[in-house]
Amino acid sequence: MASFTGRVFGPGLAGTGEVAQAQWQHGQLRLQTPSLSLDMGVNPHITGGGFNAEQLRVSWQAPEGEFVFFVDAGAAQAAFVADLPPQWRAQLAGAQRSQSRVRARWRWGIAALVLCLSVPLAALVALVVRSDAVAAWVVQWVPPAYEAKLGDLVLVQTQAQMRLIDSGPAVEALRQMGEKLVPHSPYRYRWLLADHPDVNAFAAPGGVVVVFSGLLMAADTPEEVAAVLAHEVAHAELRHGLQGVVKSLGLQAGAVLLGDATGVAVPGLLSHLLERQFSREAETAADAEGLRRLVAARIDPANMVVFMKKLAAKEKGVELPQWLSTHPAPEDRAARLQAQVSTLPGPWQPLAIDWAAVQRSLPRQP
Amino acid sequence: MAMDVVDYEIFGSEMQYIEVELDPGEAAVGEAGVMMYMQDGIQMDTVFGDGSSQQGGFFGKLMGAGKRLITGEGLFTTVFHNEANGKRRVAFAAPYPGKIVPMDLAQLGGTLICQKDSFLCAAKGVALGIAFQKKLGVGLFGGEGFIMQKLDGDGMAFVHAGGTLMERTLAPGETLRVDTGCVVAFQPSVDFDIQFVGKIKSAIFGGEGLFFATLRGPGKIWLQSLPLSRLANRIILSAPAAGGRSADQGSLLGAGVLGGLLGGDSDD
Repeated sequence: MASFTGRVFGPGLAGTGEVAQAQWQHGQLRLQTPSLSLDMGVNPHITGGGFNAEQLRVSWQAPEGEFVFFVDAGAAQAAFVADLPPQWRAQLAGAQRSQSRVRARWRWGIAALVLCLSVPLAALVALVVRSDAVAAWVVQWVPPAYEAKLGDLVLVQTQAQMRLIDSGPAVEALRQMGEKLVPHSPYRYRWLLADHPDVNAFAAPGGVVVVFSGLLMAADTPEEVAAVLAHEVAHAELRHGLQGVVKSLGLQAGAVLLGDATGVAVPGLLSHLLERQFSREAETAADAEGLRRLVAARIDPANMVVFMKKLAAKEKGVELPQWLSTHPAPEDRAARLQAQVSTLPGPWQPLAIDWAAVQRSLPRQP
Repeated sequence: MAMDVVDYEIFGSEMQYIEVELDPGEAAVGEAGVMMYMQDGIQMDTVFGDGSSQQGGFFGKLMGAGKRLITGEGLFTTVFHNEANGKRRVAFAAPYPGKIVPMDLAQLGGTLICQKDSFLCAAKGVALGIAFQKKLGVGLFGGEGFIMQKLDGDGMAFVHAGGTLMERTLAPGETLRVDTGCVVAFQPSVDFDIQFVGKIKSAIFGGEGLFFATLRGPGKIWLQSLPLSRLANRIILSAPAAGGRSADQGSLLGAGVLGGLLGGDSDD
């Protein structure tokens, strides 16, 4: 019969228990502590016990009081169980059931916790990965009227930063070119000229198109400007700005859910709109859509390529690797557009705009 | 496993510190940041994990450190070696009002379960582990959370309790109902469970919460009269800077007379 150790508590023993050598002898458990030896009583009660019910707790009533003997998990418990007389097997089974119940509940609890934590996280990851599709779906439900309001906000922000001109020959030329590009649009377009030397233009949601005077100076023909307008109008029609807003709103909501409410919503969103950080996919889509609109308006799409090459020449000095910048590299865009343009049949109608007069009407740059 | 036998002396009454005397070559492990002073000749060494010699290899150390991270402690513990020829002393201070409890692990059967964060210092060789409270109800409502600390070894360990300490040996079957959060440590033979307060009325209006913690013997238990979280709550509640009321501060000579009379807060 194998001997094993455990800890026994009871009358006459130290309050903190004493180590006991235990051994089954003829169906009777004999315990030997440093101070005394004792036998298990006739009517023991076997349960799971100790911290997390990991131990076996064998208790019995003796004339002097109750004794409790704890058998540690592992080898000691195996030795105890191996030689346990059959009349107490049922009790042991009950004790082991209660032990495994604690373990099983714990595992379920952990599983539930992991699930609770991972489901929102997985949903968030999925949303981030598929953010373009999700944003496009959400944007479907935003009415154009609301977009127009967003556009007004952007306009106010822009006016605070630069002088906007809404009349004159240049604006008239922009309107003439622009309206050709947006037949049957749900938006009411506003064409504006910004007094700014940068070669730039942008479209805010709801049909606000702002062209920088620097761009008009850089363009040699009105068709080149029309090509840029087509690209910007495509952004507006494809609702890229709004999708960006939805995306960053969603990311902020996700961040708040994850317990990090650092972003302040509205100013951040407006600056997002102003910075127009469209994704490269959006830029490519806008190129394609712009091209389609140019063709529909019978404006020579080759101008898109021409202007793109101009931009490429300008940007040579500060070139970033393509994967770093949000805009595709101008050379790549130009090459892709060139391939598409060369397959398109004419004839193209030249725009009836006195370009020299338009450029003369621009405010002089200091 | 050879434990270092340390002599110690506890100073102070309510805000205590403990001075541990190390023989040449002996070492003590301290929770990061509790060291108060040390004599020269004591070498301080920060180790990854808990500094016990039980963990073998890099992975074991990593596990030990990970466990410490879960219990909310630092990844590192500090080991204080006596490199001098004579006895040298190092002192560890308790971080909040309360008592330092010396625990002789050998006498307690080698293992002690205690509240996390309560560990202060120990003889080198005591393993600091975590013991997950696997009874879900106890983990949720027992006031000690799911993570408890386990001290293994046969040397001295020093644990810190808030307020006044209650130390009691429970006879087999003897049960004590305890306010949740007051349990500092117990022998693993003690059954730590929870019990519903019994009456809905008491649960709602009694102010004792929904559950008691129950401790059923046999074994030794240690209770604290003032858990730090309760003390912190009271301080926040009455701190004017945190929006509390400085109600008991009113004196006829003080500036808060009017505020005190009107019962408003007088933080301006």
